[in-house]
Amino acid sequence: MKSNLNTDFELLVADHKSTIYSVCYMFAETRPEADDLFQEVLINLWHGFKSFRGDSSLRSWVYRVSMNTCISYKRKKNIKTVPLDIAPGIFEADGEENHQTEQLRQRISKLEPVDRAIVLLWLESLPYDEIASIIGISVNAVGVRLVRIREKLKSL
Amino acid sequence: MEDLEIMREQLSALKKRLDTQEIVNNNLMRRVMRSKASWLNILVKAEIWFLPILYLILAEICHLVGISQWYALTFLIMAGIDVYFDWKTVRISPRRFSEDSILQLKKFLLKQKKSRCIQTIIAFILSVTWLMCLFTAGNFKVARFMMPNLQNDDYLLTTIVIGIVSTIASAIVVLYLYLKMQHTNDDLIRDITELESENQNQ
Repeated sequence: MKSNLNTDFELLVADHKSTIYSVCYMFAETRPEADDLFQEVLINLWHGFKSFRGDSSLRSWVYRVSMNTCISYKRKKNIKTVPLDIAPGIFEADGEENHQTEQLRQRISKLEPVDRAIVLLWLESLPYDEIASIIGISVNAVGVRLVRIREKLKSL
Repeated sequence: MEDLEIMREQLSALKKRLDTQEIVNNNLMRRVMRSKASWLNILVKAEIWFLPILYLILAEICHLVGISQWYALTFLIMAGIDVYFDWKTVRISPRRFSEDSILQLKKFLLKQKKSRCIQTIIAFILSVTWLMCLFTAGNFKVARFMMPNLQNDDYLLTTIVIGIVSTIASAIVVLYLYLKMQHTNDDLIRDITELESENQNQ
């Protein structure tokens, strides 16, 4: 039983790692911070995985945990982590791909945490009702906030 | 192209790059194991904090009941020794998860389980003995204090009842904590065994 749970969790991480890490990357200022966030998210996913009842889709649940962890992360202090083995390339400035990624991160980082979460979910092409369910606001509120986010991004 | 569409493409490109990255499990599993064991360290710290408070409460009870302060002192000594051994047999230093090899960590956890078992048995026997001495002290002064209106002959029976009830209550609490601690170690040992088999397969 226990090894099935671990295997299932590993599959979950493998399937969603790019989603999780890109969310963490958008909320972080530096690579160590992104690594911290990534580990925090995976810890929280692990703790919740055993009791996940499938009330929402796995994707929505992963997003919800990732967003909540990132949004509340700033309040925590003194989190010690061990370094991950993800290549540092995405944080380096050289190369057109890295430049594009950094440009994206800088634009998103100027938004408030909840707005960052909403725009990231929208950029992932999630429908409004799923975004609303993940963030915990109404569908109308998602629409209104996205309009404001667009205006803010244009002015940046 | 609209700004948000450009951002969508950038995000998609980022995710594609991340998909090609390997995430090695080892360090992450160590972090998960450390978080599983953290409650044990909190428990031991709570014991250290509460020990002087419990001693003061017991000293006051001894004073009110009119029995010797030696009962409070022996409790302090016995509990202090127990807490000292808990530091060794319950607590798992966070450094072990980052510095020890998984084999060393596994050996430590197995040894800890054994030590904990022996300590729990000894501590329980000593506690029950201490409780019996406390309740029979000064010709059942504890029972007389709790129920002053009983007849003389009833104090022995009352003391026996109080003794049995408190022994059973203590046994339930001790057993619950002991099993939970052993279960945590078993969980961690299982995680390590899986890590070992993963490392062998790589």
